[in-house]
Amino acid sequence: MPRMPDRFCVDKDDRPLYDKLVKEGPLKRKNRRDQFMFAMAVGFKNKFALDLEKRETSGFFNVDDLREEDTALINSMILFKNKSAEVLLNWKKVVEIAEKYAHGGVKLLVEKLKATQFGTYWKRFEKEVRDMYSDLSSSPASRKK
Amino acid sequence: MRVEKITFENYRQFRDLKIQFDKNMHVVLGVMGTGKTNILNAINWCLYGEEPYLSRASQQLPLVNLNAVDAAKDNKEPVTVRVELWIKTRNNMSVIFSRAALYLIVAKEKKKEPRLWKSPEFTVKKVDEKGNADILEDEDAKSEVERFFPEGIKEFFFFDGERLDRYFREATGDQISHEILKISQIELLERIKERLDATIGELTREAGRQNPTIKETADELEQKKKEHDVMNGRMKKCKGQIRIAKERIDEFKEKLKVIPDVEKLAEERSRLKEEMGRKKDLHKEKTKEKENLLFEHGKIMMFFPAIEESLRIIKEKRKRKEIPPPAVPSLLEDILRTRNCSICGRKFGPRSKEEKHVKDLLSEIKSSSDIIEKLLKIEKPLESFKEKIKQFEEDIQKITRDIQEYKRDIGSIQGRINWIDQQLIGHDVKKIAGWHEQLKKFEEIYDKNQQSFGLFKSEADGLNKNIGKLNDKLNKELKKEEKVKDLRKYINFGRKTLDTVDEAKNAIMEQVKTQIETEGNERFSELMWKKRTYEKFYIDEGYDLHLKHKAGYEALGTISGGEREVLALSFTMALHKVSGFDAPIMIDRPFAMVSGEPIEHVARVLSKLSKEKQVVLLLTPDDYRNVGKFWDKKVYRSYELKLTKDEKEVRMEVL
Repeated sequence: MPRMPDRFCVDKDDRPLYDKLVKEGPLKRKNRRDQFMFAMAVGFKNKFALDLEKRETSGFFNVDDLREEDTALINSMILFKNKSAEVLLNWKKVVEIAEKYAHGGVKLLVEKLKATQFGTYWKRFEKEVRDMYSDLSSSPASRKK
Repeated sequence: MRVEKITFENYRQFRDLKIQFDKNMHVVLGVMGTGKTNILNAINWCLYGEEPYLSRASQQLPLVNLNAVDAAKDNKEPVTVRVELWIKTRNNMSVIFSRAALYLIVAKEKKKEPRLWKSPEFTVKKVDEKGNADILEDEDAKSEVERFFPEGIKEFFFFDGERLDRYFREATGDQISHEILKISQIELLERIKERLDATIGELTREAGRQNPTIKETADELEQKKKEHDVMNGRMKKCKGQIRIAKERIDEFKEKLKVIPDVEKLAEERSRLKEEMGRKKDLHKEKTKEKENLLFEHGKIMMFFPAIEESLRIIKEKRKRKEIPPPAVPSLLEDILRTRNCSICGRKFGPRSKEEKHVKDLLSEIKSSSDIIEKLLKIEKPLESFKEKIKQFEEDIQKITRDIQEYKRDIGSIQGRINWIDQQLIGHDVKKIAGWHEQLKKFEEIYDKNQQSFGLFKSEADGLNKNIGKLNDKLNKELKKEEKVKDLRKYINFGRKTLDTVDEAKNAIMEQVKTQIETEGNERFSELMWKKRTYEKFYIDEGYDLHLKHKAGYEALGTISGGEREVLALSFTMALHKVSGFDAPIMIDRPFAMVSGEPIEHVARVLSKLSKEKQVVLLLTPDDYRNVGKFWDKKVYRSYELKLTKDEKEVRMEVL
């Protein structure tokens, strides 16, 4: 029996934002799944989960397109947010939380893109990633390891 | 000797013209088409009966002036075309060379056409100081021309400026040898040689009639000599081709010396463009790879707190032994189904307390199992994410290094392309490619002719040996044959005389050659403005002319138009001095092949020359504008030729 829900959805207003990010920004050459995952990551990092006002039920991509690593990331995010593993059994909840983070994340991405000049997005993103790495490397947990 | 005047009567554009030469230097100006070159043609026609410098336009026109044709009545009055050249010798004798041709004007289809009525007549009138006149005709008149203006070297009196420039490009050793022969005035020796040769041939044939064996050998000998002459002719032709090719090769090499090797650069540019394309593709790929790396790692890093927390939870559960689950659900399912506990062995009934307990336990474990299953499923990927992150620094640095390297390469290639473009700016690539092609073509001609020359020489040498052997054979046969004893004596005498004459001729020519070199080099160093560039010119054994640069190399092919002109003038002056011919020098457009700074030098050289020799220059007004300022107006006279309104006649004005 297929998991219910069987697709991840986005807000109707998010479609053009994703298209813009594909055309001009970091989501070039990425499929819908990867676009969603990235937006979700941004939303999660910035603790910016938004309720979908106009949820498009046609779906952005199918659940079956998820790879094992994507499921792992989504579940780890849910675990982190809820601090309890039981919510993992509620797939509907999982999808809902993921969609909220993605909804918030895509808006943040578009804002970031607007703030950068053409061609410099990747430079800024590289800096952000390097900074994140630097933070991770210097965190007590990593030092303990 | 000096030319006093030239008169023209109905000769081409000159219906009735007289040019007086009362100074040592005269300048005749005229725009294109006014007949300057026809003055040279007129003199040549007068002296030799030919017009070697006729333009294509003039070739279509009759010799007779067109206005004279129009004015003549049909068939009634012949029109005379006449050109006279008046000279004064050193002993004050006047010599008038005159050529006249009579034409009848015939009406044809409403047009008048001149038809030659009487062949041109040539006379020479000599008048001494006392007024005694002597008129020479036919061969005597021709001999008189040879005295003053030998036809064989007329190009050294009457120059076409362009030909002057080409002279040293095209003159072969044989040409120069011929000119030296003429100057040496040893035609008599040549005639003696020819006569002796003919006599020896006759005597040999006579001997052959007495003895068929002798005839056979003599015939064979003659045949071989003919073949030898043919081979010589071919060798001469090759030599000429080699010389021309060498001149052209030097010319193109000189042109290309200061020009970058356009072909090579263009090739390199094309290659670099290709390489740059490849590097750019690699750069693009690597950039995409980097973006991908950042994308994936960035995503993972953003989830990192969740990853860490999840792994911590899993670790905790493992510590608490919740992973793996304490009981396997299938065991409990079995117990419920059989209503028999496989652990303690107790049986229980449906809807019993024990059944409910087992059901509750099963429900709890199942739920816990699902969770554990999910946790276990995510554990491995999350661990691998952590490992992946550890590699980030190394991976990003490697890719960044590669990208920078490609960028550097692209920059360096672009720099080289820009440099090549700079080199090629202003150069007509097509034209230069054409020069390279021409150079290659002449190099091929040179090589081919060198090869052919070698083959012909080898054959000629072989024929020479054969001729020698046949001569010996013939001598032996002549000795054997008693009947031809006397003939043999004459033949031997003839041969010895021939050898002596040949030696004398060669000795004289060698002497004349040396004199020309000495005299010519004196002139050259006097007239040449570049005092430290050229060492000397010389004529080699084959009578080819060479010009040696002070650095030691052959410079004839690379000198400028102006320098070539000075060299030609020096050579001419040397010829005149050595030969004793005192004729004036007349040059049509002497600055035709000279441009820039050398114009002044050549102008001054001509002015200098006029101090010792009569010089007549035919110039365009543009030429005059460039050079007139270098001449003292007091020492020369200038005339201007002007076309009449109907363009059928040229008049002259004194300036």
